[in-house]
Amino acid sequence: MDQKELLAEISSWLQKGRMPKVKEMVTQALDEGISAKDILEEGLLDGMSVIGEKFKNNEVFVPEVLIAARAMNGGVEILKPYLVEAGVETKGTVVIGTVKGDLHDIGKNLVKMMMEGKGLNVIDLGVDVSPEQFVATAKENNADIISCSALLTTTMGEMKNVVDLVKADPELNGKVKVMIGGAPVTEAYCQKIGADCYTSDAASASDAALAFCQGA
Amino acid sequence: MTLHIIACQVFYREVSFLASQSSCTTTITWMPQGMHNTPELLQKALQLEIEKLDQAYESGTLRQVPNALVLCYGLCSYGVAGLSSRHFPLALPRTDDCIGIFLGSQQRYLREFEKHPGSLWLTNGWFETDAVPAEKDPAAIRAKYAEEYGEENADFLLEQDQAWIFHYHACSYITSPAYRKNASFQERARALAQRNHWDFYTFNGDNSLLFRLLNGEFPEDEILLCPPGAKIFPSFDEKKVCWKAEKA
Ligand code: B12
Repeated sequence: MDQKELLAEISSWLQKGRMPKVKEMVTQALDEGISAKDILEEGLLDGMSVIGEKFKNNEVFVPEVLIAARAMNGGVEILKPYLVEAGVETKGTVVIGTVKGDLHDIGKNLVKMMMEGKGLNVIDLGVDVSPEQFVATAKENNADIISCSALLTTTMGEMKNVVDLVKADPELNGKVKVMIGGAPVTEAYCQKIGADCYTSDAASASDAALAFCQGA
Repeated sequence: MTLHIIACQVFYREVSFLASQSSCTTTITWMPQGMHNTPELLQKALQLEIEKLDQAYESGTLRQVPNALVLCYGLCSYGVAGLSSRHFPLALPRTDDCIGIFLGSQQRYLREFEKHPGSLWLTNGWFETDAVPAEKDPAAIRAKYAEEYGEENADFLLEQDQAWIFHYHACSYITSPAYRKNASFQERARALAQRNHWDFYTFNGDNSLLFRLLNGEFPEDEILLCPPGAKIFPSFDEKKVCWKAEKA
């Protein structure tokens, strides 16, 4: 198998969510002298973006994305020491969480996984996250983006509180972008509360986040 | 006054009982419970029912012509957004979802929601129409995952499926004045809470909002009345919904 075939094979096992197989092939690829960076980008991340695209088009569902992301993380674990050695840097830092009062996290977890799939460093605060927690964590970690997920119209107003808190903070205002999403969130709502970005799904959320980090 | 009701089956007993007490003549369309899982399909299904009534009116085959169409729904992830009738006003409670309707007011819902964060709300109607989350047998769920995604992924997917249970602190059960016996459902809710190590609260259900709706009383602060030809929109504020004249 040449390098190209091997990486395509990794991507394909990842899309099937077969973590043990992906780990095995990543190890084999390293043994054959393929660089960690190529394995990451042309194998793992390639597979993950195919899955992200399919999910967006309703061709696969939540479990497929979850097992693909797990397979990706399995592969990344093996690559990590090599990536650090090669000095592959993270492309930006994102603080993510579901807003206060809201405990839905399936969508948030998918967004996180897709962002990690783009090589971003994602700090996950979980669910029921207060505006103060978002802001404090963004500061501590010098984050580029705060990403808020909301599934309840009941508590979606917390997103405005996050935006307001960021704007009121001289250290963060203009530096940290606030991205929002979740089923009830719309572009109109994003504009209304003055957030920086809204996208409708995990794949486009990760594209937008990467674009922000590279622009900044 | 004549009203045509379009109701989620979760309100089956409440609406049936209150319709019998209403001073209005009512006709009804029942929608299956659970359509909130696919809000876009819910929207399409509701619009289709409205369309049927509009068409029947236009062709002169509508036996009882209603003064308004009454929607027994909350905002429910925008399942009601974009709804419009050519001939009839649409009446819709200003609540986020059915919990506000069961509790009798959006204000009470917000108050209790804040007081009891991390709560799973349960009602009799839910027990009667749907599988209660976290009541399903984990072994059966796991078996299904193993079959579809392979043995190596089954435990992981089960864990993902059940993880939310640990984020919850309570189960909040709402009684209903439309049921003669609430006790058996209350016990099921209590058992669920116990099994998941959640606190357990009981709230007295309040049908007054639903009754006003079915009685043809539409107080502006509680119920939206969208005129014929206009469309329902989320308002992104405490009124929850508004109407706008449809663009030509
Ligand atoms: C699954 C589900 C649950 C599960 C949650 C499990 C979990 N681990 O999250 C359970 C059963 C526990 C649950 C509980 C409740 N739920 Co619920 N739930 C849903 C349901 C059916 C699907 C949500 C979901 O996971 N979708 C799949 C994911 C992949 O989609 P997503 O979250 O939209 O994410 C995508 C995009 O939006 C985007 N995205 C998401 N986040 C972000 C963030 C950013 C920054 C960006 C850019 C993009 C982005 O990318 C994602 C992937 O493409 C929805 C209805 C629906 N179809 O939306 C109701 C729904 C959200 N729930 C609802 C309700 C009412 C509740 C409860 C209050 C019910 C109760 N009886 O107590 C509780 C909530 C308690 C609380 N405080 O949170 C209502 C909300 C109504 C409202 N008030 O607004 C809904 C709309 C259903 C309804 N009845 O109408 N729920």
